[in-house]
Amino acid sequence: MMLTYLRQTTSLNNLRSKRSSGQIATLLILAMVVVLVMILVTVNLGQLSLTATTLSNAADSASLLLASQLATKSRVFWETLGGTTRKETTEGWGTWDWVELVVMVVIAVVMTLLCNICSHGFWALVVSATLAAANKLYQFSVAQDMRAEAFTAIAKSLSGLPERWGIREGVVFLALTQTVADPRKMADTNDSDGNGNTTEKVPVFQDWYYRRVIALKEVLSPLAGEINNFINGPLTSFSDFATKQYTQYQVPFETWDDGGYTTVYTTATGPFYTAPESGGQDGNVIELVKAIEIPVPDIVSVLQVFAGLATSLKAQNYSDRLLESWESWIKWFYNDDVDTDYYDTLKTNLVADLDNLKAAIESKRTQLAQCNYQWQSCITDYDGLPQCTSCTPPICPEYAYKTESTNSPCQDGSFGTIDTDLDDEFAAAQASIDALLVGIEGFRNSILTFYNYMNDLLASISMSTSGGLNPVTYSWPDALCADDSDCHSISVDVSHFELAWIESGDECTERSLGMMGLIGGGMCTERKYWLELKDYTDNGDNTRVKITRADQPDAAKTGVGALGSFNPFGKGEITKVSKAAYSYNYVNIVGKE
Amino acid sequence: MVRLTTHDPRPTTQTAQATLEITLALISVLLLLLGSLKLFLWVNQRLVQRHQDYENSRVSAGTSFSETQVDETAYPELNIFGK
Repeated sequence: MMLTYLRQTTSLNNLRSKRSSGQIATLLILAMVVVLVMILVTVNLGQLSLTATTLSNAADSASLLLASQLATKSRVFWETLGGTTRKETTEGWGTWDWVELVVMVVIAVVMTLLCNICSHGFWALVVSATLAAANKLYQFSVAQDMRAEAFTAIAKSLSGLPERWGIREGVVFLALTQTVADPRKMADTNDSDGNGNTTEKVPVFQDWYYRRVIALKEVLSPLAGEINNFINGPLTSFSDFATKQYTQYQVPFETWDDGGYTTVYTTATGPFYTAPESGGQDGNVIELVKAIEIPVPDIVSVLQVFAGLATSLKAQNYSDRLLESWESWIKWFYNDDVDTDYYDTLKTNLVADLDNLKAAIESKRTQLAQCNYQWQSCITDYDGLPQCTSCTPPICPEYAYKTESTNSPCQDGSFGTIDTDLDDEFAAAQASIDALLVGIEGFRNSILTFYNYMNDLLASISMSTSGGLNPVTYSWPDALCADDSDCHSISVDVSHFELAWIESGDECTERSLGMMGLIGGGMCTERKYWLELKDYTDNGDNTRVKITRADQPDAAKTGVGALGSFNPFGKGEITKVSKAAYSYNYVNIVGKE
Repeated sequence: MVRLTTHDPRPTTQTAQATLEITLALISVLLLLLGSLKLFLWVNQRLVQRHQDYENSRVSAGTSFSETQVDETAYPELNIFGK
């Protein structure tokens, strides 16, 4: 009865009816629909603005935290050097100057060590205080559900990481706690806040981050070690091997001289060295292919890539910088998705070219003319000296032998030569190519072994379980997500940054006159010693934090609700970037996106 | 000559009353909608401008000697009934 009355009152038919009752109610309901739509749009815009502001705040505070920690370290060293970035002294100083310098060095070393282990105290305090402050300031995130003891426990846990990673993870943690809006809770079975209570309910994020730090601690050291091993082992070996393929190099060997062994050097030539037209070395491939007039493949330019690769990677701080960017540079070597990595191009280009070259050389050899030889026979005369005479088969004694070929390049059975002596340059060249092929295959296997080992290690810190190395991603589900999917995510990317350090060195500033009055040949009479503060400032390019929030709700569930299809930004992502410059005396935000 | 209107059993006074009421109601609803629209536009313009100002102040807010102040007088005023 009531429903019937309501339906009659609100029916649009009332507007066409001559009946007076219900017409105004219908109009009001129509008006309310319009007003509700406007309210929904306003709420959506407000939500979007709030999310963007939260991300901006998080990015700014994270970049400031990063720059602040780096600036603090710079300041410590700057104070150590007596309020300067370069401290110099010369041998002409008095005793107390020397004492001062020695004390400076000792203090600098101690401060460096302290800052390396300061994570056990100072940095933990800084991070903990910052996170606690952030917790009070920003209430639209998991931070509001995390107790202060959880922040302290995680800050302490971060202190066990290597210094650079401790700083980075502190920044990541700050950014995530301000932006992750995962409402889920779980029993604290891992005691992530260290209070001994394993039955209390804590945010899922808190437990996730606790497990991430543990995984990081377990994996960082072996990862860095394996990168070190790969670069100094297989990569350096192959780099040297590749270089020797197309250059001349010195080979040491020991010789007996004056009652002792002496090391002397002889020049060796790589098989792909661009040899002179004649007088080369047996086994030189380039000389052979020129002599038999087949195209010279471009092997050298490919080898040159690897010759410079180890050097360029070693030039970096590979134990750290290469670790954090491993996922990008390993793709040069191995990438399942494309065929342009070194692992594939070595096979498809270099190995294929070398196989073709081997076939072309053998094919050309079989087409060469039969070798004509110079024969000679030798007998020993009455004085015991050999007496040799040339002969031409079949008019040759049985003991006659071949001395040289007269129509090179030529072939004879499996033999081939390009010069007059009877060395088989074809076999030697094929052996050189085979050696290169073996070297390439060995290096390819090393790449694959390295890649698989790293992947196995990284599985424990993978994107899906622990968020990845850098960027770090945390995902969570809610009612708008498709079944069993985490459709909301926050990704924090911290740029590579440098830590301040002190470089020491010395140089001769004055020399005595050498023999015959020549300058430069004498003893150093004055030497300058110096300590210099390095990497103590940055313009923001290396202290950059990027935070991305991505929302991919289920399309079937977003047709209703204030954040549903009315919201043009309901699906997609918002990215905020903040850059902070620092030195030993300031920290400023200098850029944002 | 055929009359196109339907027969209305109500007295003429009641029909006039309904017409008057619906006219007043239409005007009221229209005013309500216009007011809501004005409010809607004002709120959203303010939201957008405040967010833009916030974004523009991020760099200066992150410096040591920032004196940047948001000038709220530049924001649009709420004039439901026009200027």
